Amino acid sequence: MSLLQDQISHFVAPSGPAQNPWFSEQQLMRTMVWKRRIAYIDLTTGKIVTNSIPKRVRQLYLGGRGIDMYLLYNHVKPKVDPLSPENILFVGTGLLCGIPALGSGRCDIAAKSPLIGAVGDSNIGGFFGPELRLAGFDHLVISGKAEKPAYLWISDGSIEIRDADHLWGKDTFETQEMIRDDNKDEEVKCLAIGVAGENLVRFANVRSGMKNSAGRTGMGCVMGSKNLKAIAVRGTMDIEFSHPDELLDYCKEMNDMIMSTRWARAQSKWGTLIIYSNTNTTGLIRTRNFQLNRHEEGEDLEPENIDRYTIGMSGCYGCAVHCRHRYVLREGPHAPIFAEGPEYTSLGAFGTMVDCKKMETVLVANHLVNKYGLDTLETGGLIAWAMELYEKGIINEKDTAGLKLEWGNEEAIFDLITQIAHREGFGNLLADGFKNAIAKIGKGSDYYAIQVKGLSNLHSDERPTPSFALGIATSTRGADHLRSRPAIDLYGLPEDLLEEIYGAPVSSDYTSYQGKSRMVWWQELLYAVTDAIGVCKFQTVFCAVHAPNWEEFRRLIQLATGMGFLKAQLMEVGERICTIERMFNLREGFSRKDDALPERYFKEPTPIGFSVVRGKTIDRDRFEKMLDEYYALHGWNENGFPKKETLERLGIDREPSLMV
Amino acid sequence: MKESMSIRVRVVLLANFREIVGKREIVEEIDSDSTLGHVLEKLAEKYGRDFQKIVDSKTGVISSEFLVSINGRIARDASIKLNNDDILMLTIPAGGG
Repeated sequence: MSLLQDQISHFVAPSGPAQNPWFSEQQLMRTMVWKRRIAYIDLTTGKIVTNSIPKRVRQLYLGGRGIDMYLLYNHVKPKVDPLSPENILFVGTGLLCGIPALGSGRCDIAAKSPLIGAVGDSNIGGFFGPELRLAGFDHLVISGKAEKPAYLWISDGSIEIRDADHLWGKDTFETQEMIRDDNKDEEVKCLAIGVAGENLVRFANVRSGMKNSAGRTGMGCVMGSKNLKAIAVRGTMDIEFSHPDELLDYCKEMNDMIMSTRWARAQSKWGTLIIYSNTNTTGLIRTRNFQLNRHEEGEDLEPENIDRYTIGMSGCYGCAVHCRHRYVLREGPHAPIFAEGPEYTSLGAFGTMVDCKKMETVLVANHLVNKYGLDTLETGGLIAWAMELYEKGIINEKDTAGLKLEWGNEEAIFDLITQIAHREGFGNLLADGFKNAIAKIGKGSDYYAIQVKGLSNLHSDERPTPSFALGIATSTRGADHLRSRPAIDLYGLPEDLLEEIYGAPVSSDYTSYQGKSRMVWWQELLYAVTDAIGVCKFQTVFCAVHAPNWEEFRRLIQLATGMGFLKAQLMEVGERICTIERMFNLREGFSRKDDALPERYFKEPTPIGFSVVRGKTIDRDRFEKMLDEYYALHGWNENGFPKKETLERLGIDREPSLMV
Repeated sequence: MKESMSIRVRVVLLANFREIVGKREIVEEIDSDSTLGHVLEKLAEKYGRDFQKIVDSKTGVISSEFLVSINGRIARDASIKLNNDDILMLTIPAGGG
């Protein structure tokens, strides 16, 4: 049986419990969800098969990241080479993708990660997701490898594999523009890779429009390995909702509620850069890789200072906030630049971590990584690490082929970004990510790498915040703030309110360990469901305690699809997604030993910042205790393996697995 | 007779507060027995607007729409007594990435 046939036969009859009492067959037939389509595209043979998405898979995984993770676990064979045709790329729109609220344009891209060898998964906003739905598809399963450069053209229910010879070598902006020109349609939306993806840089991203990126875990590299330059969609079909009038009213209510808050209005004005002022002033920002926890002379990076370059704000589909700067650099050696961003993450990647002090440096670097199609965070994290190695004498100018990797040397940073994207010089070594670069450099260089499971951490310094530290250690895709970060832990909220949210006592002190495993677990379930329904995390409890969460999600799902969930059932979906990701990673050889922090978190106290955060390390025993509690909350054993009863309860006990 | 001493606290103004005052940092000289509430009251009188809304008039605690820290520790209780050289930070809570 071919892989493709195997996929289809499996998908038609998914395993798991035979009965689920959530919906009657009659209820399901009334919803329109069951009509949505999935396409299986084999780039090797050119065969394309479409099918409906089984109802039970919808019930158990919703869509977006949820269904992508189900597919990843069931269809990617254990231990496949992530760059081989056997790896499969999954593209999935969120269940609510297309509603006019909460930034609902989100789409999930998954595969086995060529960077970390574990779950590869990244979520992208913008406009691609809704366009894919308007073109008649919710999910794409892309297997094999095209013989030569190709792109997918998807339009109103049809899919073609087209020649992309003329696009190969083009950057992410040019590629999208040329596809729109080829099709004489300005409304075409693309997922595209740049030269970094073509050159199999292991942290190449997937780009859409001017700004949106599926940045983490190297999904652009997987596209490159399949000779897949882009996926272009244009749809003029309908997106159907079960209760359209009530849904519109409720979406308006959601948007009005969000825009009535100060946090959303602040994001509208300053974007995610607003976080920098708060965290840097306090001393929660890693600087010079990990030597300092505050960027002392970093005032030019404060959000007010982007105003002189900004020409307006823009947003994603279905978003009232518009948190993204559109900027122009008219002067200087790198001008002219017309671009969007940068996010808080890029401010750290090309500001604090590499000790650059000018906003303009960040704006140029942000544009370069976007043009080449590189994950901004991984690129900045690797360069910062290389700079510390250079300072410590572990590498020298001979190793870097003449690049002076001194702190704040912006031209060296720009050169290194270009080298990484083209796999030239010292950049070629970094292009393979932390794990491979550490193996090649040796000499104790691993100690200085601020990464978990091979994925760079962002520029937050988690030594004073145990909840954040646990989150980056346990994230299934490696160090990451978007998997479980309880940002509201920094708000010092009343403990009775925290208990009401999290269901058990949680300390309001962000430096405390008490209750923080529960906080991380709860947020992790919420974000898994957020990614499965395809709305923006920044419009959930990520940003504010009263922002939308389970109840609002439940109501939106009911109005958009007719599917009825209780809060407990939605939380169980979150558990299921996290556990199937865990199963994938366990099958690939990951275990408790990988839910770890860099040694520096335990050994080097934070040197500066406000008195509350100064002198902090993570206490190893308390960290291990948090990890035990976190596993127990998930129903996993002390080694992080899901218990039999957990798998049975979640209905994944009969999924194909070497573990079970 | 005991003489009332004065103390100085630094106030770091971010986001909306920086926009209103036009400065990133100011220094306030206050009585040595002053509380956070006293300083916020003084700033509200001087600058108005969002400064007047920091303390929730219904509950008397710091509103969850704002973030106020003293030397990095988040304050929700306006009756906390301040000490010389304390650093207050006034801002809007924000998450993201």
